[in-house]
Amino acid sequence: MSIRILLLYPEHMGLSGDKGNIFALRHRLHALGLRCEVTSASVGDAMPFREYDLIYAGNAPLSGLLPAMADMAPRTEALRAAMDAGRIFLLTGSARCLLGGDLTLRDGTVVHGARLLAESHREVNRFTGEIIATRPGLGRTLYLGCYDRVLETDAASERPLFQTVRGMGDKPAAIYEGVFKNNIYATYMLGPLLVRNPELLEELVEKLAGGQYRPRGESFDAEAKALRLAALEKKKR
Amino acid sequence: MLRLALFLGKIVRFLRRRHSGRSAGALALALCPDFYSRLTVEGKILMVTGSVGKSTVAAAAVHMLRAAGLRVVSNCEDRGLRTGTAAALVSAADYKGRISCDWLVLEADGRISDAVLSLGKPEILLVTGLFPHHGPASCRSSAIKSLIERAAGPETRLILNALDPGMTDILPELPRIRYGAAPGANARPSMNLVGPRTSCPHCGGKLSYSRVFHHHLGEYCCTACGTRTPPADYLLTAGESTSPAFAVNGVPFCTDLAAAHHYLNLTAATALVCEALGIPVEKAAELCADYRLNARFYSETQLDGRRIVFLLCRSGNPISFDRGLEYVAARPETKTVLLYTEAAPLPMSADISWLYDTSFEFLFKTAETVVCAGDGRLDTAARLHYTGYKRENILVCHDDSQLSAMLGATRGTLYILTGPVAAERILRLLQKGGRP
Repeated sequence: MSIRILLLYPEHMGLSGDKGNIFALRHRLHALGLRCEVTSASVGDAMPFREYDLIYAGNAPLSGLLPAMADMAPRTEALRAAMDAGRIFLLTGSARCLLGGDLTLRDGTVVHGARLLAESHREVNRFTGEIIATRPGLGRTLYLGCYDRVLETDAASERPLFQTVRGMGDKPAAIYEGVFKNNIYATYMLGPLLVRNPELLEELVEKLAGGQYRPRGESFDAEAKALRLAALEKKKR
Repeated sequence: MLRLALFLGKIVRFLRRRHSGRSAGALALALCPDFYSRLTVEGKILMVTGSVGKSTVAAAAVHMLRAAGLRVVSNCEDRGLRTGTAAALVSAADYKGRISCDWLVLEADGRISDAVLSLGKPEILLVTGLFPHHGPASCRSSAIKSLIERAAGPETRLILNALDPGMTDILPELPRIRYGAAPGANARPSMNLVGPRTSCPHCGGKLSYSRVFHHHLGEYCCTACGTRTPPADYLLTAGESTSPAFAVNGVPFCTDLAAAHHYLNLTAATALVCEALGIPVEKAAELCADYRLNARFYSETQLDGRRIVFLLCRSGNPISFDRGLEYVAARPETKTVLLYTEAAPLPMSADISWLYDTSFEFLFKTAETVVCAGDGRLDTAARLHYTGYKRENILVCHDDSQLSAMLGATRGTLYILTGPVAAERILRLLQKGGRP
């Protein structure tokens, strides 16, 4: 069995260690005896989303995001078909704008997204920081991440991916962050999200591997997260 | 208050002369907030900036200028650009705040304030490279470009890296010369995860590369507007990663570190000194003859018969780390690598993104055992695991006091890749703990 991953716009996006997510997925799938084929697609390329099991895009500065959004905007129908077919989308950092609605830049320019998600974005001053969050309705497991962004988002009508315990949500004072719709995982958390959060990695690997999935044993990722959580707990006391 | 700041700063500097000068600089700035504006520089200024390599270029230039018998003041000899700059000027200034020198060589990036820039406009401004998005915020291209615009005066001459397409639109009204590397100067194919910029800074068209040098450098050509790598006035014409010899414009140089990135930095320093003094490359090669890398960047020691090599690799900076990893990978002997990684500064202290822009793949199959220590030990171990290392070849040291014993069970030359503060601590631990 072979798992096919489509990596979107690697020359524009994925400049914040986002490759870590691909490394983690590939490593886990190999450990389960599955082949993993990663294909890149860029501006102007054919993107048969339904032929892939997972579609991934990583963080980018606005200079990289805007050409990618312009290329993605007319692909709504193909994206919708893939979403309805249960394909997994993982979008980290500013890449979540690819599937969202309009992005309003500081100078008033409006850039269209693919409008698969009912959310709109706005360019604002830069925010950086760390997030500690839970998954709404999915227990008390804590998820960790970082953001470094110049965007805020209105996504009130979408199901959030995270509920923040600490750090900023979709916009200042918002407690919800990201979107979880069908199999779309979209979050402003940037970089190696799946390495930082092995639970999320296992969730995706289980969906991809189906009956061949086996939980993994010890991992440095999980130990690193446990160490970080212990440090946070100590700080709280 | 300036006199008091200088007086106390010089005392602190003397008392802590075996340490970095940061405390002297911090004290001077605390006592005299307008410290820089009260100083007068009686000499010409050379400024070295860029995303990576500026410390090495500035240090080599300072060495060559001093070898030419000139009086040189520089901030590249103290750690930490903010307080290090103040510390260097505390040492150099008299009690009236006069800095008498022939040349003030300033290493600069986004951390350098406008107050420091008010010391004067640089005669020559050298830019080593511009990285669009990686590494510390103060070293990103936006921060460096902003600094260049603030620092340069109408008479400033620029020295630019010809291999960096990001440099093509820097202050086009100013005169410039360029340095670069000829094909063959770095024969190793690039293994870096992070590649050079792909869009033309002029027209946004696609850049194609006939070769890539390190991460962000290469022979480029825009497929839309035809912008291409300009010719270099100072050209690195030889230099392999296993030989200590290289050449600039065909003139042989010799150095103590066989590493291609080091040669390019020395080519930049040569360009700077030749342009500043109006001397030929042959003379620069003479001035460079006894140049040795500052121990902050590279040092070797023997501990109970085992060779220990320290390489400066800053956590959070994939560009810096990649060069260290590439260097270690090219050494043929049996070796153990200690990666001592530290947490990023707040507010992104848990940000491990940089590990996944850093090419730890260089190490795979070239170092038998890797020891991970420091705050980021488990994150680094996870990253190594994803390169293909088996768990049993990755040793994680959770307690620094156990480091010596853990390293004692490993073989071969010990390469320590970390920042300067951690390096001092590790060496002390190893000396206390006996044979590593």
